[in-house]
Amino acid sequence: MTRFTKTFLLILLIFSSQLIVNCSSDDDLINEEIENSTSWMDDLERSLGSGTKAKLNSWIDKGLDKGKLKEAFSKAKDKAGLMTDLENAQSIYHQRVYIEDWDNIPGIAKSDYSPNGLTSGMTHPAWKNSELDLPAVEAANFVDAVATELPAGTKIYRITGGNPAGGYWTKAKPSSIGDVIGGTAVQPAWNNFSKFYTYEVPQAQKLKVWQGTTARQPIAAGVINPHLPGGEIQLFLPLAVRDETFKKLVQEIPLPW
Amino acid sequence: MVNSEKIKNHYLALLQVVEAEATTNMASHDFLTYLNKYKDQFTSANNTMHSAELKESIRGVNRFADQFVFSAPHDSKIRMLINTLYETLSQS
Repeated sequence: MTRFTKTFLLILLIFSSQLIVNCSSDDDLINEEIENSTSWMDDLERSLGSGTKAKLNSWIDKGLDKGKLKEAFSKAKDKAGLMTDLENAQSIYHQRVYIEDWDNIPGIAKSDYSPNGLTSGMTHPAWKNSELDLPAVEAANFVDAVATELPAGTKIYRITGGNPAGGYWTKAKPSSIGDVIGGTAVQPAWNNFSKFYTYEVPQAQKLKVWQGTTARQPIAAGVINPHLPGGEIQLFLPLAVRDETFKKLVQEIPLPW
Repeated sequence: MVNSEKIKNHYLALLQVVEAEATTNMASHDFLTYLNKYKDQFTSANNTMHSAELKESIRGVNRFADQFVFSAPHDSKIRMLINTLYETLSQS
């Protein structure tokens, strides 16, 4: 065997042994990761009761990020409280707020919140009806607002899991949940975004509304960053406008996504 | 009446109306739960020291209320109390 061959074989031996060590280390890391991936759930099963692990896995199967979920429970001082919050959440987006999974909540702005809404209510003298005023608490949800009469044939839209005939609508059809959460600044705590409604202003009628740019909102109480940027045009329909006739004409249509 | 007492009394009045609503309207329980989360903050003796935070909270209460159908006698009272709370906090 030549000197070159011996040297080559030695180098090959060193390289092979290093590869085996690295693979073993990788295997150890993988085994450790697998073990750790469920041990936190086992701990929660023990502390929060039977069925906890099944619930956590069902949420993960539905798209909740496992790593963020684990991190949230690791940081939580009140783990039972967090579990209750997650169980009672409006939607997966609401759950994502609880576990601070901001990357998976569409429409949010990753910067500090500062309020930019109107600071007082508004009245429209031509309407001569205080029941059509924009109250201060609603005006706060607008950057700017103008009293408008929507003509016959105008269609307006609303995404909600609750009252089909509530006050907040848009003239533009939302094309994504991000448009609703971010553009019209709707916290996931308030809405499960499960249904889509439309209303068309009947012939020979006009609909008195307040129209303007949506103001920013916090994404959740006590959170400054991220926030909901607003910016989309929204409508507020005074309660007086949303009478029984109005309610009968509100129609559910398929969600646009 | 100083604003602190006004804020506390109005919030308790709001809770009372929603509690009455919840006895016949199961769907409004979520709204009642939401209101109870903020009860201590609104009814504390130094609530006016946190008026900016409470203003945001009542803004959220109002926005959430838009999801609910309340019975006729309670609906306008709930909206009025929410708006009054907001205006009082704006003056604090």
